Formats: sequence, structure tokens, C-alpha cells
Amino acid sequence: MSKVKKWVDQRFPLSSFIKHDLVEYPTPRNLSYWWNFGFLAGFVLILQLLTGIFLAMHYKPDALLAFDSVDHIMREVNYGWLIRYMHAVGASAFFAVIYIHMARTLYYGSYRAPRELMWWSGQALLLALMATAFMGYLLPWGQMSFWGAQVITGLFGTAPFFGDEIVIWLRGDFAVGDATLTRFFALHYLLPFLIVSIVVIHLIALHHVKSSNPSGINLSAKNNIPFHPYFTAKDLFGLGIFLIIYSYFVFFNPEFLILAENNIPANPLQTPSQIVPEWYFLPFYAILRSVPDLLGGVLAMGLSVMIFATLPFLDRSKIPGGAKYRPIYRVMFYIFVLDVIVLTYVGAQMPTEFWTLVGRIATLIYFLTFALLPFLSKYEEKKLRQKGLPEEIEELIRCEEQYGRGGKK
Amino acid sequence: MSTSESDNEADLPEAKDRRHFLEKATCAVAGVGIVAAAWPFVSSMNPASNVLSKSTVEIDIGSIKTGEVKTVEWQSKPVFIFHRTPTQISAMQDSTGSEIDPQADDDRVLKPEWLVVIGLCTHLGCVPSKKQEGWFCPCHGSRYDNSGRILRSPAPKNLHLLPYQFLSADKLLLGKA
Amino acid sequence: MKKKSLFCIILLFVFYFSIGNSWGESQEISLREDDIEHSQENLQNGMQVVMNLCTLCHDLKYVRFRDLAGIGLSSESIDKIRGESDANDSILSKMNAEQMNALFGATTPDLSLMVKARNGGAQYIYSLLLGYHERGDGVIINSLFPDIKMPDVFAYSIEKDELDRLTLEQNARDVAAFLVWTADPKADERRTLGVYVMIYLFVLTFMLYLVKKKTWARLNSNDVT
Repeated sequence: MSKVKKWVDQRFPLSSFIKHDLVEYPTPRNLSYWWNFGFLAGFVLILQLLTGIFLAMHYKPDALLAFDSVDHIMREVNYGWLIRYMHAVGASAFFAVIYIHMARTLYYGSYRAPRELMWWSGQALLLALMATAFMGYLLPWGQMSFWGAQVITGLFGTAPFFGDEIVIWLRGDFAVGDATLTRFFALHYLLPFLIVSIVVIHLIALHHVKSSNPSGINLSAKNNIPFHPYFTAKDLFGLGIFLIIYSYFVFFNPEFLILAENNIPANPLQTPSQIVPEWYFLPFYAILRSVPDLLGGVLAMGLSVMIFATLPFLDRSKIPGGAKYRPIYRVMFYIFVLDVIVLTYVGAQMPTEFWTLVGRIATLIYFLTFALLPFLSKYEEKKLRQKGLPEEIEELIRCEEQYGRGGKK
Repeated sequence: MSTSESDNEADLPEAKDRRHFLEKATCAVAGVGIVAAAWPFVSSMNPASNVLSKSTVEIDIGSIKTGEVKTVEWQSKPVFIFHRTPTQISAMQDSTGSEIDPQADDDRVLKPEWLVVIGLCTHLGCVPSKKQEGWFCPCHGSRYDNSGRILRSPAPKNLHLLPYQFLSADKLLLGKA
Repeated sequence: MKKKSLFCIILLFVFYFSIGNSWGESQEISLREDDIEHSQENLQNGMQVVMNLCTLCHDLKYVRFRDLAGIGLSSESIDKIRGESDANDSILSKMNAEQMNALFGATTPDLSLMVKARNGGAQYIYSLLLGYHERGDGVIINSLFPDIKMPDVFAYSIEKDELDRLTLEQNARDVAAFLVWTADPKADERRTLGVYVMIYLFVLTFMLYLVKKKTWARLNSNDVT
């Protein structure tokens, strides 16, 4: 065994990789359970890849066969029902985990220097995940699959000059059809591997800058502990809790998030009474509907996803860390989370006058949060320094001013 | 890195043993779970129930005249059902085929007038065609007699048999003996 | 602090998972609320009614005759039900789409997934079947679905005898129960397996909790925060 190890190590840094990046990897000892969600996201990604590959062995990306082949998986393939429900529930679990992971990053200011590249690779992951989920949702070829894809691809028709051409090019047909289904399947299978490679970048960046922590201040070496066994144990315990919640949905409530309409085969001649996207798209969908102009709505929706990338620029405060030491930032965080929840709710409602109004106010608050951040973060810093900060924090700020952001003592 | 591990109460030898036992037990339980969780995935690659339900086929043989061969599909393979004439039967019962794979005709049929064999050449899996004196494989020229026994190489074996039973005088059930 | 955040997560989950289906329920249809029983007798009675009545017009194309073993039918009774059809055939109606269109001006939807395809599920099916009543001018309409093309196949609207009405109501419940089964024949298998998985996960998670606690106990408790 040790001979094999030696042979490999002379040619590939396996042992030193395991030692440095999995076992001894220094991790802040004060990480809370909110730091579990990155690991969970990685786990769900693997789960989705695995179940997806096995589903692809039985699924048929053909408009005439797709719906039937899903039913074949559910009824006739050994444990097909299990694998499909794991995949369907897994998609929702993925977004739940990612959104909590993002919220943690926002609350503790983990996106700030020197972790901007982690934040931006995370933004790329979010986009790729959304694209993958959107394309995957077409594959069961139910009514909501079909009309969801029809509406969303139709949004590209608002592009100037070539709108109609772009829509037809995306669909490969004049409406969503067999060609669309087949290409969505191809891309739905491809994109996860792109996600895996961005995850690798995300992790390389992480292991270079190391984890942030609840205090928001880079800890001195003595407050770091090796990843193994401390965080392997903590992550695995969190995984157990996650699996319990996940399994509850897989085994006892698997259709909970599948809209009834999607159990009706796609019918290009009949639109469901209301088209509702999956829950994880609802806030963005609400923003789309809140803008009276269609092109404006599309732009607002795109912006609402991409705007997270601007946070490292918008947050101009020199106070280190996240919401913990920053009262105004903390209030903004809670307002933002609440606002996203309101938007989610509005996205699922019939667009009555009342809900449209609520949606518009919530959309405004959504963008105002970002627009006001540069000013409020500066104002907050000024106020806090007037009141007097603890000496070590003042010193940290002086250090940063001297050596640039993220500079070490 | 971790500096605070020593001189801790929780790290006395007994505590260490207890911890190690707990860790090992947890690993074992998790390992069992991983193996169990793999099973549905492995199992999903086995034939689905709609495929399995076709593992047996009922065949009506009343319409096959004496001297005729009917080729039917069973488990996605061609099966020859050959209604033999009395002369063919007696000729076959008198021989044991060639020395390549000798076998008595009685061992190859349930009722002498009905020969049921898998219609794939035992050489490389081509479908042999019926000739007067047996079968001839168009791919590499193997020859079989009217009992499906190999007469001329390259095929190494007689045409394979399959489990079947007579449900009635003119009804066959392929796939179950 | 930890408890509070855990509570928040759970609350968020509950909230998110509760809005998924919320718009459908907001359509305010009052469904009958009687309990639908799912015993084998109910399923088999429902199957009889479906076979005798519903499959005149509706397909159950994802259900094959051999699948009926799942509601406890012997292969002899399945042979009797399938008649000339092969055990591997789907359960299809005798009429085709054109005949349907000529008769009702609509094609009949497939029933295999009907329970999953309607908000309200079994309760909706049951309420729909008994939703027929005679209007003042003698026209029979369905209160749940006024535009429905399907006639009152149970003749529930004109049945006056109380006992017969009770039988019809029982039949309607059994039809709904049977359609619950056709839409999700693996439900029992799923729940049984689910119980074992949950028990296992609780044990494993508890062990992982102990491992975590024991591991972290090795650290001195001078927390940095």
C-alpha cells in the first residue's frame, strides 16, 4: 500500500493534496452552522449528477415520447420513481441550499475583499444552475414545462432588431417543439459539468483566501483548527439533518412542488389558466411582471440576478466583517430577505391590481437596497467611527488603508 | 494550527477509546447506508417490468403446417419453431449430428414433431436460413441439420435450446419450462 | 442564537414549500370533504366501476392489465377483466378520438394521472362525479365544472332513492380511490421504504451528532467570538 502511495506521490501530489487541502486545511474555529451550506451544495450537485445520469438512461428527449418515458420511469423502471423524485426534489433542495448559502455570504459580508472572485464565481454558478434548472424543467414535457419554456424563450423576443430571429433560433422551431426539447436535453446534460468546473475554481479560490467567519475579521493562526476531524464531523452532522428533510419530501411528499398542470402532457393549443414558474424563480418572475414595459421587465429581471456581482463595489464601508458590527447593514439585510420573500409570494399570485402594486413596491425596494448601499455603507462607517470603534477594529482599518483591502497585519 | 488539543480532560485514554469506537461505529453505519443507497441505482439498470413481462411469450402453433418453419421473436431474439415431417424425425433420431457437438435428437425436443431452437448461429450470431437438409448460415457458411445440430464449422455448437412448454396441443409458452 | 436561526430556516422552508401550490387553491372551489377510503375492497369496487363505466370513453393508457395485480387481483380475475386483450396491453377505451369528438365535441382526457393532474386530487374527482344536479329548467349541469362535456354517467342528479344515492356516493369515492392508485401505484412501496430510510437517517444523524460533539470537546472552549 505504502509502495503504491509512494509511486503515485512521485508523479502526482496526492498525499500532499489530501494533507493540505482536506486534513490540515486551516479553518476558523468559530464557523457557525450557516457555513455548512457550501458543503451541502456540493453534495446536492453530486446527487443531481448521479440521479440525472441514471434518469437519462431511460428518458427519451422526443416530443412524442418524453411524457410517456417519464411515466415509464415512474412505473416500470426498477426504483425509477425513487430516482426521479430524488432528482425533482433535489432541484428544489439545490436552490434552497444555494439561497441560504448566498444569504449567509450577504449577512457576514463574505463577498468583501479578498473574496470577490469567490463571490463572482458563485454568481456564475448561480446563473449556470438557473439555466440548468430551467432547461431540466422542460424535459417532463408537461403543460407547465411547455408553457414555461414558451414564455421564457419568448422573452428574448424583446431584444432589439433581431428579437424574433433569436427566439426562433433558440427554439429551433416557430414555437417550443421537438427541436427545443432535444437541445434542452443536450444542454441540461452538459451544463452540470460546466458547473462542476466552476465549483473547482470556487474551491481553489476558497483554499487560497480561506473561509470567512462570523466575526468578519481574518483570524490569527491560533484560532484556526484543522478541517479534519472538526469540520468533517460538523459538515457530516449537517448532512444528516439535510438528508432527513430531503428524504421526507422524496418519500412522503414528492409531488408537493410539482404543479398539477405538469401531469397533463404538453398541449401547444391550450395554455394553463396561470403559468407559474418553479418556486425558486418566483422572485425574479415577480420582478419581470412588475415592470409595465416588457423589455424593461426582461432587463429588470436580468439585472435582479446579475446585480449581486456588483456588491463588492457597492459596499464601500471600511468597517470589516458583515452585519454583526454594522447596524444599518444588518437592517438592510433583513429588509432585503423579507422583500425577496414577499416577491416570491407575489410571483405565485394571480396578477390582480393589489398584487401588482405589492410586486412593484417590492421590486423597488429590491433595487433600492442595492442603489442605497454605497451611501448607507459610507454613512454607517462615519457614524460608527464618530461613536468610537474598539481599538483593534480601528487598527484593522488602518492596516487596510495602508496595505490595501484584505491586507494582513 | 490547532494548539489547544492537549491537556484536555476529554482526551484521557478511556475517552479516546470511547471516541474511536464511536467513530468506527458511525463509519460502519454510514457505509451500510451508502451500499444500500447504491442498490436502487444498480437495480434501475436491470430490465424494467415492461421488458420482463415479455420474457415469456405465448405462441399459437396450430397454423404451422407440417414441414414449415415459423420464426417468432422471444426476448428480442428469433426463435425457430419447426414442424417436422415423419421422415425428417426418423432421420434425425437415427443420428447424433456431427462430432463437433454430438447430441441425441431426443435431448433437443419435447415432442419429436416440434423443434424449438434459438435462431442465432452459435458462431457470431447471424440468423441462419432454412434449407432442405437443415439450416445454412449466410455469414460464414456454417451448416446445421434438421435438429439444429452443427454439421460444418466454423460454428462450435448446436443451435441453442430455450425453455418452453406446451400449454395445449397447439399453444406454446416460450421462456418457461 | 442557534435555536433562533434553526427556527428561521424551518420557517423559511415551510413558507417556500407552502406557496408552490398556493395559486391553485386560491381558485375557491368547494369540494366535498368526506373521507375517501383506500382499502383493497374500495379499490377493487372502484376498478369495477371504472371498467364498466369510465373506460367506455376514457383511456387509462399508463395502466396495463397486469398492473391490476397491485390492487390485489388474482391473475384469473385479471384474465376475466382483460378478455381478448393481452395482459401487457394498456387499458384503453373502445372508442377513438373521432368518435368522441362527434359525440361530445371534445376528446376525453386520459384518466391514469387524473388525480395528480387536478388541484384537489381525489377529492376533486369525487366531487366532480357527484356535482351534477338538475337546474330549474330541467337541464342537468355540473356545479363544479359547468362547461363539462361529460354527461352525468352515474345518473346521480335524477336518482331519488336515498339508499341508491348512498351507493352512488360510495362508488364515486371508490372511483376516486382507484384513480389515486392508478396515478401513483408505487405510493405504498415508497412510504414503506421511506419509513426505513427515515429510521436509518435518524440513527445515523444522532451518531454523527455524538461524533461531532466528542470531536469538538477536544478543543478548549476559549471561543474567539
